[in-house]
Amino acid sequence: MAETPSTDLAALNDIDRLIHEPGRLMLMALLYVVRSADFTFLMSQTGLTWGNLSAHMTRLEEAGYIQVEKSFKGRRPNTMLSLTPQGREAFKIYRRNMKHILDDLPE
Amino acid sequence: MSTSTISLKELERKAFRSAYQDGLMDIYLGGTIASFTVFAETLQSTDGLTTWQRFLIFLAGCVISNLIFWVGKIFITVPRIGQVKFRPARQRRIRTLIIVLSVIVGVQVAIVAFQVALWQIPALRSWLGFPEIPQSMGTLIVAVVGALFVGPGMTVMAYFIDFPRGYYIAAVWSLGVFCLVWFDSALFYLAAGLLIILPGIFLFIRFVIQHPLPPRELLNG
Repeated sequence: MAETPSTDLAALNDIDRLIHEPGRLMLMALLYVVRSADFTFLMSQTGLTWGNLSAHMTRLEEAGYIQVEKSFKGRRPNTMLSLTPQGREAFKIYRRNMKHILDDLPE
Repeated sequence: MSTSTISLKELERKAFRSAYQDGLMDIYLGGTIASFTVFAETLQSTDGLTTWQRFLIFLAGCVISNLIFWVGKIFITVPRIGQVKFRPARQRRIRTLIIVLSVIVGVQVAIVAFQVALWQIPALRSWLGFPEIPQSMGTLIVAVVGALFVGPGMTVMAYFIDFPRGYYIAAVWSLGVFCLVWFDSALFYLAAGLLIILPGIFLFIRFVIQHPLPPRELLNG
């Protein structure tokens, strides 16, 4: 059954604010399209500084949206980041909600 | 503020293609192609090398190209742009590439085998009703078949591994093979290899300049 378009701006409240922040949105989008990536790759693709990236990652990890896998390659630490199933689902919902809300806006 | 839309598909493609921005793939392919020059028939009649010596030179060229590729990836590219693992769809594309390439190579081998059979067994040629091919026409056919031997394979590879410069490599390589046979000069084939390596070297230098090494304490801490 087709959903009736809502005229209630309160629908915007359903948007996941944790993902909505531009820096975190970039990270979530990037991690959504790959299986996993390390800090250096995320920095080179998003242009975020190490400090910013680290802060966003901590927030997303606390929310259970990303998982951090630490290992060693030889003597060098290697940290790979990936979306958890919960993070993947949250991003899907965020994307659907944003499309849904913005699609019917007049020009 | 940018008004362009964000496409997740394009985002994934951009991330995937970032692996090629260092030019190492071009250097590797160009080096391997250039090494094959040692088997050119024109050289074989003048340089006095045995088949084994020729094979060793070719093998050395391949090993050096391979080493440049892997050492460059491990010690120069990855520390600068990091590492990423892609989703299974990319693996599936590689599997499809292997199947498609196998079919192409199979067809090419069949065509060459048929061609050789026609030349070697005149009875078969007359039985099939093919006219005798004059020497000049024969060279043209070999040149075209040679070019078609390498071009489609490289084009298909470029498509499946999402490597746009692969189309340029396919064209230059095909032209190199054609000219090698048609003009009977190994220089053309060597030039094709160099025309593939040179943009790779340019890209590699640009990559190193544009992506300085991050401070040691930030590397995947």
